[in-house]
Amino acid sequence: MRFWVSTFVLAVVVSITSFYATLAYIPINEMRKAEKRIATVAGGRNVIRHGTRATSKFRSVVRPSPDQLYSACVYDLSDGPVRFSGSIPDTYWSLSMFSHNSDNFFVVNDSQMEDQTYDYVLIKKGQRTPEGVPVERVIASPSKTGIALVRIFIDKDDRLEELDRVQRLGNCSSLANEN
Amino acid sequence: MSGTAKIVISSIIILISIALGIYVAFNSIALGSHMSSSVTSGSWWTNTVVGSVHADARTRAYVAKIGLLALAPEETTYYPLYDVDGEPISSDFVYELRGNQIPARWWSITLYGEDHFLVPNKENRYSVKSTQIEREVGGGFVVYLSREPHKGNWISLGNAQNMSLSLRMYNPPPDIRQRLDKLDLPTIHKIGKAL
Repeated sequence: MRFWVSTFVLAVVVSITSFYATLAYIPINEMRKAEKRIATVAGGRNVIRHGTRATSKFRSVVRPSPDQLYSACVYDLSDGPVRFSGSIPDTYWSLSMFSHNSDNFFVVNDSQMEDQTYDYVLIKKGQRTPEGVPVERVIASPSKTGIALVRIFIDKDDRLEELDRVQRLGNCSSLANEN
Repeated sequence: MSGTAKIVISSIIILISIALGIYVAFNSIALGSHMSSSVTSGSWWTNTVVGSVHADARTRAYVAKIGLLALAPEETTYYPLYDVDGEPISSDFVYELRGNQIPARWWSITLYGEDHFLVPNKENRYSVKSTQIEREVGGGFVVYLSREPHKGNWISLGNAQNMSLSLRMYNPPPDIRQRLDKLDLPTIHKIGKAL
């Protein structure tokens, strides 16, 4: 009898652990797959990829918006901080950061910016802030890797070329490569 | 019972328990609208913690599967819609979507196929957006969803089945989280069969 009771208790504990471990694994696995796809087309990590307007042929990330231009960069903070810079158009623009478990831990949009340009430095939580970088321009990531995404709203279809030019001014690079 | 038999039985039960946990986990994220943090508004539903660092494990897993890289609710509110009067959206029918003012800096409504990607159609008509939608005299709007091109605001259904819509509301008012289930969101109805 004792054997069956202890086996039953073990089965319940293992089932619950397996349930939560699966839930924790799903977003990390989806991010890993997305990071691999994006880094492959971008030519590596800490390299930005400027996407064209999404059509039915777009298969990188589910439920894309055809009304936005996306630029994506898989960041890797192994070699130190990563810089994100570029221009901001006169339509909705946002820079968002997603940690390795898919959490959106940072977002800023054009209405919160004073200039028509942006320049942020991403560090790993606990890393030292790079010298000469204003503290309000420093973002701390909870994970070593993740994805940064720039969204530009195509407010009028006939502005696509103009917005595409602004999009392509965006950049993402490791500070270690700049020094 | 011998010691060997006990070890064999325990091992089998542990393997079954692991499989059960995995099965229940995938099954529990199949229906996002049934999550505790989900709110419905007419045919639409949303989740109050999508993308957020405050998301629970189920919501995070669900979003990773069908809306990876979704923004936190303070930036964008997403309302998916998976059925019309209890039936999935089908290119065998024509639908009419009617809406008024949607509280956001800008919004869009996009159609997705069963695979959660844009539905192939030769006109590349996947969505409508607030900045280019044709409005009626009172400020409202009508969007037709059909296989064949339609006059006015039109989204192509291509030749697909089991489609869904996503309403994206960017930079919604700060108090929106308190009234996510009370918004005057567009209504959608089947108005006929496809030609």
